[in-house]
Amino acid sequence: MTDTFHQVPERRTVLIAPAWPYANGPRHIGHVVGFAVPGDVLARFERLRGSRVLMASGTDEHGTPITYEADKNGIPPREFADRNNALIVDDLVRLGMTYDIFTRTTTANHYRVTQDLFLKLYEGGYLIEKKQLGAFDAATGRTLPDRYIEGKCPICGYPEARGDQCDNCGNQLDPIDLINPHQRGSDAPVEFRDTEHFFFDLPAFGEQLKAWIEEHDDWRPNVRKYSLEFVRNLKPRAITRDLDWGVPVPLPGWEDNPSKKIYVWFDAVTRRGRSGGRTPRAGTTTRWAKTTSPSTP
Amino acid sequence: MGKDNITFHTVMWPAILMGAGDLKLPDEIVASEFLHMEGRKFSTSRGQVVYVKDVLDRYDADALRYYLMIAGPENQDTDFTWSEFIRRNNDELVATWGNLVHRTLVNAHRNFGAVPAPGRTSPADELLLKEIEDALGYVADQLEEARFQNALKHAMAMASKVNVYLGTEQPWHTIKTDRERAGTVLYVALRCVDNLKTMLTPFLPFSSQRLHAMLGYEDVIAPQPEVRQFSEDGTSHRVITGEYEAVDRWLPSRLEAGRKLPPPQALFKRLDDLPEEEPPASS
Repeated sequence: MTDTFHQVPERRTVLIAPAWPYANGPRHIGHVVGFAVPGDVLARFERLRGSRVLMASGTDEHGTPITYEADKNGIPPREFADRNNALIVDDLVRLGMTYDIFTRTTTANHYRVTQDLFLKLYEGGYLIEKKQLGAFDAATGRTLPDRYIEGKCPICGYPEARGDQCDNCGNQLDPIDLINPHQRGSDAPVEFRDTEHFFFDLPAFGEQLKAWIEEHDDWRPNVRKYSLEFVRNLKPRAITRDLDWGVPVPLPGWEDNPSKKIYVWFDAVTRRGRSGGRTPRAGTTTRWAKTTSPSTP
Repeated sequence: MGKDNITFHTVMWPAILMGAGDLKLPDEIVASEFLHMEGRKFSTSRGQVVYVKDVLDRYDADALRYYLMIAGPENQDTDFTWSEFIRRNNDELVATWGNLVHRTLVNAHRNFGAVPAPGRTSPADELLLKEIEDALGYVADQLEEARFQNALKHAMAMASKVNVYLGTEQPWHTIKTDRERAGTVLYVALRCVDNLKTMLTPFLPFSSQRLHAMLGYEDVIAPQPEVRQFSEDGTSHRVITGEYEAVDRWLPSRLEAGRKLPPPQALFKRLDDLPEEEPPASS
């Protein structure tokens, strides 16, 4: 306990970077208890005691759960994301969420920042180009994302396992593992052929990450526990994928390929670094970048 | 964020920052556990879900914010039930905090029309004021550590304490025999309410702003967001933003005597029990 609570020695700057809600539908209360209300409580508290706060977030709009739902509704992914962004924005305003900026991952600014970061990693030698087997529609040559593919689970025999995981036994799968793979919702065949992708060399940071996490003994136990378990067994992680809905890969030969995009996890996690970019509070980027103490409720 | 997101924040993103050059890593990472519903997992496909919009169509935002922060999955998975939502609203927001505000303001307004000037304070008065001011520090410390439930529970416990004080002092009786003592007690209670308002503003911004006005203030302590159209690179999209000033308001109340008090209104609505078979707001 402190008795100097009202004497903030200097005006602190605080970046609050809550998780970005996924725009595949309206949000339920189990979502906002995680990504919304705690961040707003912190932001309001910090402002009340005189800190300069930047709370930035937005809807996360790329990836196959969105293209899949959009296809099902017979509309383009952008239209589907627009619709859900509007619903989520309305909810958050009514909840009184004092974002300084709540934007979207489909803005030109977000594309630029994601691509810049991708290039920095590429130039640093942390992106490994590898061939892997990809799934394609034999008739049209279109790439098929994992969750567009179904088949029999090789582990438990469940007949409707998805290309990314079996909902029956919960095991993570690769589409190539499925027995009798076919396209979801039809019998159309799936063709597997080689496709080039970039992988982020996570193991290169294993020791550094472990040391950094261990240093933070003040984090909540759940956060430390999950993280330390995770860094024990790091593998390179695909950072591009075969999909037409996403941020283009900013490299010659890739850029103009309509079916290669940056994987949504990278694009979505990147938003944490872009607070205050070209937003209604333009011009604060560098100042924030140098002085903030980020937190991610 | 939920616990399913942890490794993106503690491993992937820091690794990207390390790889991209000399960028500042996060200091604090806060993750919650999962909220279940009536004993089962939320599931959109099974209709086992409570949408934010449906709750807000029926109930005040503060009632939902309160429930999520006091009973949410801060450290372990918790279960949302409608009966518990209603109980917490009625027993805690209405009967504890709302009731304290109401009887303090009604009695001050009815008998004085303004913040009464305190006479000589008793040791009990001074002790209570000190405890409330200490609570401002304690709640700040807890919030700084993202211990939201500790913070909120402490503020509510202090509200109960002030209720007990009022019950003991009974200024609504004393007013008939000793107007100065009644005025002193109401002054102490008003200062306590003003301090508790500060602590509760982050959690209950809508009702706290209304209370702020009922205490005779004219400024904004709980600004609200707005939607604006924002253009960049030839396209335009909606953003949430707002004008939120950083102000030094986390300070002990100095509510001055003589400040006019407008007629008070109830802060929270009592909710009726729901019929078991018809839960609201799920679709």
